[in-house]
Amino acid sequence: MALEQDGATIRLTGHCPVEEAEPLLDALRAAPDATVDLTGAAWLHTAVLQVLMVAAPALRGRPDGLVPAACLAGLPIAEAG
Amino acid sequence: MTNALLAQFIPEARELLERAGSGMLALEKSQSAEALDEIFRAVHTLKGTSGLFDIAPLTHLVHAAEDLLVEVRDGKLALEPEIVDGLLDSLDLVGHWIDVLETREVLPGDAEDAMAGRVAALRGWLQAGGPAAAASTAESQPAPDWLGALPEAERQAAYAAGPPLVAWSYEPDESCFFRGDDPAHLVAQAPGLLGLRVLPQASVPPLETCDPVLSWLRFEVLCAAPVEAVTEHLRYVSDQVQLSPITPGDLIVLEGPEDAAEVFGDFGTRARALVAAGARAELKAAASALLGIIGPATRQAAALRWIAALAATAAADALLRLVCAIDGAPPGAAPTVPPVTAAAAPVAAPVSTGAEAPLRQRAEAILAAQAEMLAVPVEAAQSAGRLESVRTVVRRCLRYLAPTRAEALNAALARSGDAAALVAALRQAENPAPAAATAPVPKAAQKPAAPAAPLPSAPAAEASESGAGAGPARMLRVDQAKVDTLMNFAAELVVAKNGLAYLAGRVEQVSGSRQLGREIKEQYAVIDRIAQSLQVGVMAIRMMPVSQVFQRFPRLVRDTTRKLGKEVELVIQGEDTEADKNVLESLADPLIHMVRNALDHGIETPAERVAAGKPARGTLRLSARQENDNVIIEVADDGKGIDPEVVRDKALRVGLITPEQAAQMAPEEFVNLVFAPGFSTKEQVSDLSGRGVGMDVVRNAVRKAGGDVWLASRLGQGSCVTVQLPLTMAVTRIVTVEARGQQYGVAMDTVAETVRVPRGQIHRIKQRETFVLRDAVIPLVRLADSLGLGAAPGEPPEEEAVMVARIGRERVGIVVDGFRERMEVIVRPLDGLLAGLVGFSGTALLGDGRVLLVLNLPDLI
Amino acid sequence: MARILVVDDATTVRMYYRDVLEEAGFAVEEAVNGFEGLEKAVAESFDLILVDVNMPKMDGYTFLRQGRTMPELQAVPAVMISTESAAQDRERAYAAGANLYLVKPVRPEVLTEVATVMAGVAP
Repeated sequence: MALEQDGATIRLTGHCPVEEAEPLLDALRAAPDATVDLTGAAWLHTAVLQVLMVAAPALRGRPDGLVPAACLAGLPIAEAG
Repeated sequence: MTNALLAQFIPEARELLERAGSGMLALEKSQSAEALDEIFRAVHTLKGTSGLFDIAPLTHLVHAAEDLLVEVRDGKLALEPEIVDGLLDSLDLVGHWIDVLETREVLPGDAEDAMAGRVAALRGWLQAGGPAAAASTAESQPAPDWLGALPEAERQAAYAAGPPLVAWSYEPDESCFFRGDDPAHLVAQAPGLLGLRVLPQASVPPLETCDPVLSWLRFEVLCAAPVEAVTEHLRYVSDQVQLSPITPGDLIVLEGPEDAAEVFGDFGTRARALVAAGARAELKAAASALLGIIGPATRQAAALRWIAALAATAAADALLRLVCAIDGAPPGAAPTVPPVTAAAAPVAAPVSTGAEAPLRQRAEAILAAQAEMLAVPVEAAQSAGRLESVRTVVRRCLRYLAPTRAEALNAALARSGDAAALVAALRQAENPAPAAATAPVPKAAQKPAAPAAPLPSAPAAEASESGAGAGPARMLRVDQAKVDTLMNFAAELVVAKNGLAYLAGRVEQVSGSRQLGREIKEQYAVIDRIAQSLQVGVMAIRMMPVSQVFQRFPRLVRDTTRKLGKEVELVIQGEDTEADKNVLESLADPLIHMVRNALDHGIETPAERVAAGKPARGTLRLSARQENDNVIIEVADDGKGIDPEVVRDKALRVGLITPEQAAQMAPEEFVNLVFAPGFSTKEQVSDLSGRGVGMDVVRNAVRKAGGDVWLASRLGQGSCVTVQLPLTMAVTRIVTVEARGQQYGVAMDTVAETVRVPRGQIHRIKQRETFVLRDAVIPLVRLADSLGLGAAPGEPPEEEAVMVARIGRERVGIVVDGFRERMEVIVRPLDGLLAGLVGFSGTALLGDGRVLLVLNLPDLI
Repeated sequence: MARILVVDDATTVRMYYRDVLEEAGFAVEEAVNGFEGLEKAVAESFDLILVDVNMPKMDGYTFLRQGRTMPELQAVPAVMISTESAAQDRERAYAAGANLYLVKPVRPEVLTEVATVMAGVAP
């Protein structure tokens, strides 16, 4: 399972396909202050990246690569832990 | 005039593109000369017509496509999938241009560049005879203007990497996710990726309303790779990409406010000396030192950073240009060229030969063509006719010619049938006729062989004055809003006329005059007939064939399956079925979703199919047909189907149904749970072959349009989604039913029949009332219960009035207290206080002013 | 009024000819392919015919060749209007019976002048 919610943390892990975009959006709409944990995320589909750009949640960790970095550059970073 | 012509051109161009595109797909399936001819003619016509407008890039691109098709037609080039891709992409680009042309009346600013790239690719195949050599060597294009927006560090890294460099921008189209595209992934995999910028195409959509399945990003990317490699990498999205090879120098974009401090002048002098001396380390140190004392945001600061970064490696002239950017001095001693005043000697004005001059020249040109024409050999059958036509032309030219020339030709004409004499006289035009009036006409030896055609008395027969009338059917282009307004009036009229029926009744009651009532009813019948004809007529204007929606699918299926590595045969049936334009438009998006689902999750890979004992190639069937007042669309695949058990377990787990409900449900009912809101979003569904993804969205869209959707599936054999939509949205035929003294409307097209069922024939099966109708067991629902109206007073009746309704594929009997009348109404959506009411599709205003609630049966059962 | 028959499968092109020629005072009749062109040309008389090359059902060459054998049509001047400018294309048009060969796009003033001279009647 690629999307898990644990209190105020939404965790994306592994490969997150386009189908994750909608649940992620729903989750972020319901919990605008949630932190999104990407430490375990290997790849985010464009649609998922778009949702993150729209909702601009605090992020923990970033997936590797120039492209996700360019997409998520402006998003706040959550304190460790 | 031009605008009207353009307005005519745009739909015609679209149709031609459509014909060419679908022809191409047909051709890829099976080589047929006919399909090729059709494509060729469409492209050719587009080329010819586009020449009427100032849209040269479009004409050039279509021309290149045509040339390629000629090679294919002549058998010199095999139509490989890559070439089809190239041609389709070019047609897409032309389609995009047509869209722009429609709104702005000019091509987009980048059309010339985009055309050059595409034409180079098409011509590449032309020369090389195959895609392998289709390196699109687009000629030097200006570097894109967004280069400067890339981070400076990335640009400096790219400068250090050196050529070849490619800058490209990529705007994935809105629906690209439906085709399985992952633009970020594509960008990440690009060869030689050095840096990029990601931004919204327009603006970032707001969180509240954004649609997660639509794409809105733009990528601006810098790659250190040959342009061919990047082109190849982006070949499937080439229509969404602007690509330009750039030089390292293009990367030096200096931005920021100008700083005019004197210190820069000193630096400039020193820096030039250092460059000349080859003292690069000192140059770098000087630049760094200056950077330490000035603000970082200026243009000069940017130039200094570049100098610092490049001092060790860059060529001297590049450094000097940067120095110039700092102190503003000209790069060298380039002398400014004095403007050359074009004081040329006045050209002798053309001697005026009178107002007739252009026509005389034109006539001479036409006569020259006649001589040329007569020199071309012709078959015997045509020779007499052709000579006759030449004689007609020559005769008509006479009046525009110089008198001597006219006389000579007239003399030649007199020898009817003597082609040689005529040709000789015509040739005289080349050297002006001698002053002598007698033209040297060769003596004709023979007598005319052919019987001389009677010369029509000049000027040619007076044509009838009335030019109009018998022309071909001329189309009228009308703004849809006007038709919609007309439609609304027609619908209002249909409803308003119902008032007359009430009036007739009132007249009988109030005045007691049956005669007057009858007369009103007769008038009502006349108006009724006219109103219906009017409505049918207006509706016909808005009817469109389903093919308008279906036509995009061959391409979608082709592209999607190519990407998924699946083999799918698309079968389209009933595309001539017509439905209202609005209805069809409401269908477009859900249909894409369903087709996409079927390809993604329904149909298996060839290997899986073969292992399951099926043909490797799957079949996707899209069909449309009309049933009563509905249009039925089916999307059927022969894929792996949906396991009802899995859906049931999932539905139980997420609390969509209770175990009690589950116990009463049939397998096909489980399968239809995928439409339930929340089914797909609560959990990953790929384990259910993904059918749940967004299916509630599909159902919402269809229901909003007054239709319904359901799914049938057999595990291992495939699934079929059926969409039922009303043919038109405007007027609904309803029957009114009564429950506890209240009247409600029910759409006629959901009512199969009405029956009276004796109480004794109603049985209970599993806590549900049922009755038997012609060997079928039909469940019963009591409308009053469903609406929460409470028990009926008094004894239950001996017979129940039952309306048998079709809901999806099910039939359900609805017990009502009685049936009233049938009528046509405009159903308006619930709004205001009523907006949240479940169970009603809207309200309708009746002829007597009452408001009727119209039931939405699927909600109630 | 001189009457001109325009034979072309492209609606926009026909509309363009019609606009230009009607503006110049000619009466214009349209046909969408060679076959329909022949039918119209037989049914009514025309002073000039403008014909496209590539058309479905019957192309311009066939139309011209056929027309030159028919008493109603053989003497009517015909202009073939094509997208191709090569010499062999022009020769093919002449061999089929065209009196003039023009290359698209034909500018309005050229069209008007040609029609004025070749239709034989002052518009």
